[in-house]
Amino acid sequence: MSTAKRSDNNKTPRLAYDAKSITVLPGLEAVRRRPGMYIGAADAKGLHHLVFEVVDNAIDESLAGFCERISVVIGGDGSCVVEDDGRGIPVDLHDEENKPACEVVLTTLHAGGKFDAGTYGIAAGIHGIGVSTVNALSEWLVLDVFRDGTHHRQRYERGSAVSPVDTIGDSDRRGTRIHFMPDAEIFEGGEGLSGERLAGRMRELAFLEPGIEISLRDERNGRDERFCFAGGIPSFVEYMNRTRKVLHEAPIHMVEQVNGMRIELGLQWTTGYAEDLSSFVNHVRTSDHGSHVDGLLSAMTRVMNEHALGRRLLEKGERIQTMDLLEGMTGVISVQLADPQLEGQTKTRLRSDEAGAIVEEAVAHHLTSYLEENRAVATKIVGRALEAQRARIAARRASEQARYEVARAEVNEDVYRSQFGIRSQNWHESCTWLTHENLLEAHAAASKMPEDGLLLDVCCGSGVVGASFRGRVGRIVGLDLTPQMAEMARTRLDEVQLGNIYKLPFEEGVFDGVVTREVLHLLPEPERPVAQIFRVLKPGGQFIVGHILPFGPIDAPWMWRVFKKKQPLIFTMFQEEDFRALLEGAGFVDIEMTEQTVWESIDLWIDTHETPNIHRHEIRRLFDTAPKMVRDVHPFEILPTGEIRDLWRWCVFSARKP
Amino acid sequence: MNTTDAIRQAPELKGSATHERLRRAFDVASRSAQRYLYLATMAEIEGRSNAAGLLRELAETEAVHAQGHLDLIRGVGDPVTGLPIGETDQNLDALISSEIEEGETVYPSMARTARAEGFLDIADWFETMAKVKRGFAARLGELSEMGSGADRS
Repeated sequence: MSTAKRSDNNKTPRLAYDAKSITVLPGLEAVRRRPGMYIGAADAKGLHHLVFEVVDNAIDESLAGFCERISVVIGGDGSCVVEDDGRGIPVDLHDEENKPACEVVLTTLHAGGKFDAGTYGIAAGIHGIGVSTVNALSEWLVLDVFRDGTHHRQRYERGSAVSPVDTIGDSDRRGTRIHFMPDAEIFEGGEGLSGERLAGRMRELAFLEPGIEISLRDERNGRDERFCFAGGIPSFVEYMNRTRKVLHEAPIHMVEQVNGMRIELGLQWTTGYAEDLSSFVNHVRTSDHGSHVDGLLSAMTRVMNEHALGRRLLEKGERIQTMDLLEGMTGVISVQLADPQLEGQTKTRLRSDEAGAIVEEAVAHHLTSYLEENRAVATKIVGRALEAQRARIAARRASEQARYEVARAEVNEDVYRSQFGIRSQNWHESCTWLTHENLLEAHAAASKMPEDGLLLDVCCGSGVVGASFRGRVGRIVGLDLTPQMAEMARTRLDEVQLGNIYKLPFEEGVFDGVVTREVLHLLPEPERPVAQIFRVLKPGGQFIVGHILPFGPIDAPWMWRVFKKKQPLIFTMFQEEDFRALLEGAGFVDIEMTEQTVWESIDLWIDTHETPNIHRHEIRRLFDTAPKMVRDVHPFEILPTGEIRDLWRWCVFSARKP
Repeated sequence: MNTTDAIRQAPELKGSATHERLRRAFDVASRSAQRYLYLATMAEIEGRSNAAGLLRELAETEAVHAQGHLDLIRGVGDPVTGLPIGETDQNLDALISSEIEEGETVYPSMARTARAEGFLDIADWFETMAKVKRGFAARLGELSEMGSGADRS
């Protein structure tokens, strides 16, 4: 490995951190002119990057064994103070530059201890922008160094020193304090530093570096938190799983040191569907993963199959696939190595065949013995993966089966019963819209039914839509195909029947109103159920139907793919004109429509058995790579945590039977 | 006829068997590029970065090949519509023509076939395509009507 070689060749003693260990590489002026090249963009992300860069320097001191405490304070004026108890940036004269070393570090791009392999074998700030970038993009920056019994201070403005290194006095402490004000000329507008965002990163760092204590204070709102986790990565995994039901007690934990590379891994399976895997290289999050994760997945799949085969847990010809193993898996893999090669537009993917091979071998070795020693856990994990595999096949079958039945003009009730029966277990938690109050109110507010009227909530699910009409009509009847759903609806509605929307079990012309929501796209030949609804309505009766529609023809194909991957039973991606045509075709008149948008958490929405794991990944990709034309018409956002929020256009139609 | 005779007679590409082969080569390479890209994504999802990298590079290269075929065809017209192509205004006309064809005829006919065979979801997909294609034709049409003024404003 390169670490060993570099250390051998280096003449600087590893522990001597003085002016000699500061290497100088060319100029800083460009940073202010093109900040995007250094911090990604002069936006909220770039702004937070400034803080992370300074904190990363403190983490480097911790990795080198000299720092135990880091404190971050967001000032009431929007400035930020980062302080550590490390060795303090050197203040002695730098030979080549004839300036104090700290000034060289703060005013020269790519200058700093981490560019000299002898000072830090492994450095956290792999982006390598250095604290000089932070200085260049700050209106002002005050550096305090506590070193060798003395308190030194130097002030900078927009990247240039405006004072010499002053001696403030004696001090018995040690460390560096950097107080900076992000330059409003560069970071225009925006909401300033987010305590939430900083907390996320500080928490992460405290888990990755269990020796360290990081405090975060926000003077704007009194937020005050302390992050210190002796449990390290296994605690990180437990934290990620804190609201989930776990499949086995303690996370699987591995720490290995191979050829100068350190690998730490924590894994724990849950009974849910979500896959939650975080990977880090030198404590920096690699959100696009790369070689270390490839190595992990490859080893995991191979070892699980070997173990399962050896214990005859698999049928002949059966094989566990990576995607199925990943379902419900929570994991953290952290590797530390010298000179990591990162690729991708945002440098968030590790590319190193060597590192991949080392991880693969280490994980395979560790996991093989873990599974042998913990057979009960192994059996559960294998069983879970096989279940995921069966669900994946069932999802494909569901749409095939439904197609087959259509050819016979019959609807296979079992397909719907099994899809929605399982989901009924956590129905209201399965997405935001189901119980969204404004949305329910939009349906109820459309009511023109008499106060003593009779309302049918068809495909009623848990009955929340029907129940929202309480007080506006006299009696509410529900109908659903799934016994579990009907059971839930009985707690809300006056009467609930089991039945099929294709042959409604009611006489003609008995209801004053019918309501349904987000159902017709799941039904082949939707004109048939709509005709049934028309039939059971009294003349003058009202049909209220809510549906998610694309914003237009441009986002429709993209939504089609997203929705079909989520729910294989989707048959139609209605557009507004289709919906109107469907209602008119059945004979309805006085068609009106109100519209409202609701933010939906895609992560929540796809965390269900009906979405195979590979489809979850594909859905995320569709958001990540959505074409500009789609993004222009269909708002969604991908949060720094990777969570996706999509704006859904809800259209509530009201129509009358003449 | 030997080769020298053929050269002396300056063969006409338009309508020749070679023209037809070039059009087919363009189709084949275009579809190959998309296949590589699609499967590269699948490889990435599976955590096969190296495979994904190679597939992505092949996709890029195939796209260059497809455009190479187009280099040779464009002198005798658009490979899809046969309409003359060259300057952007002319090219827009060719694109509008094919988008209208797809939106009005090609996809609706595919939708009918799918519906007749009971593939209702696939029929809806084709219908969604037909709508978006008509939208594309309209967007291109607006641009075409503005002429080159659209780029000078």
